[in-house]
Amino acid sequence: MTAIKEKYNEFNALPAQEKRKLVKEKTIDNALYILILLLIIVVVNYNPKFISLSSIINILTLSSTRLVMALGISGCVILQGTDLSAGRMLGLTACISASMLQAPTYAAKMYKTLLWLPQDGASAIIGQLLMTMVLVMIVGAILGAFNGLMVAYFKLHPFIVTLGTQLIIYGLSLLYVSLGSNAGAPIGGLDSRYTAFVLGNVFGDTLLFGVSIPRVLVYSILVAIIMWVVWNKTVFGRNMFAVGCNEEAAKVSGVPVFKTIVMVFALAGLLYGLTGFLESARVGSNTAATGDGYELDAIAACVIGGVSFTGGVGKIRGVIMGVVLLQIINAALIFLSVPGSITYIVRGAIILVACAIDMRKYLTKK
Amino acid sequence: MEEKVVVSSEENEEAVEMEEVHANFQEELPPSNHIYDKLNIPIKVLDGVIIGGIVVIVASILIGVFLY
Repeated sequence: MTAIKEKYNEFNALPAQEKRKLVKEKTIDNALYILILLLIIVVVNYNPKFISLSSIINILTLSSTRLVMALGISGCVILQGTDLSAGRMLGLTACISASMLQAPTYAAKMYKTLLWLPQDGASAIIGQLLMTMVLVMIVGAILGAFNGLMVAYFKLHPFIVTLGTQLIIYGLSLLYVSLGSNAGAPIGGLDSRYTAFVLGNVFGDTLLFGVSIPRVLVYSILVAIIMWVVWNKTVFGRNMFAVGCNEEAAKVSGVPVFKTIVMVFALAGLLYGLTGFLESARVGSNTAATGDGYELDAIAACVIGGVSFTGGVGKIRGVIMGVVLLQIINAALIFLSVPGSITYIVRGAIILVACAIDMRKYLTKK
Repeated sequence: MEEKVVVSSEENEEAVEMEEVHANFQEELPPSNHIYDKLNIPIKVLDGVIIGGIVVIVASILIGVFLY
């Protein structure tokens, strides 16, 4: 409170012209947040259900899988890069998860001979769930490490590298869904214990104020906490910011640049794998196209959340804010019955405005 | 009463040396290679893009609500 008071006093002490300038600067820097706040006020006036608990939980649930992906991509953005293969990696890992965890009784099972889940629906399958989760995370980490190797070794821009690998991964996904007796059909019929593990109520049968809190929400919060520790309390995290800020300076200071780049991309891949595992259960029916375009939303969320394309700048809370705000905009437009075509225009304009704000912040700071 | 800060000649020399090192380091640093610096876009243009973008967003929402 004292810090706020001090700032207020400092502001009051400024001459009128300086005050106006500061207000203008802050308004432009926070233009998107102000716009979203106004949008929320308009939507609440139009339909008060928008701020009901169930609506808020729904927005947060939809944000949760995107958040895990955005946390991965944000690392790449901090390195002054990006990752366009994230959505395709999600698609591949979602298909793998779904194929491993189809209900034993499902007639159109992809692997008819895979009988590792107990036939009765009552037995716990936590071991199988964790094994599948670890498997897809390893797959994601390997693919991510490949991206990182290409970027670090050949000094290629991540945009080009991931543009190429996303096509390769999409091809792999198409091949994967054609395996077994599937022949390219959507992979559905997921075991109910798997969907319950991801989407079941945290409190079992007890509802919180009449609303079910999905477990995926808790998982994403846990991932965000772990990533906060990784970014802020580990040597790897500090190295990542150092490389993102100035690669040459980091190298001179003894930071293992090559290793850091590979590890950032591998960690991102690992998180896409986890997102694939969670999203697969949420979607229910998975194809090679699952996750298509998700990376754009995740990158947009990072930019909105203040993860700068100039590199070396970004906070976990910013990423969370970005993901949730983007989801709020989507939900608000649905509440206002705005057609899907207009939604694309709005989202695209938001990304461009966020980039312009990022550039402005960088130039005014200089 | 203002307190007088006594600086020994050794400390003073050290400070001067550090300043020199810092100045040399600044000279040795390559000019910023960042794309934003290369573009050299005036702030006013960026303000225009931001305000224009917001106008597009608001107009799109209004069109979506009232015309469709």
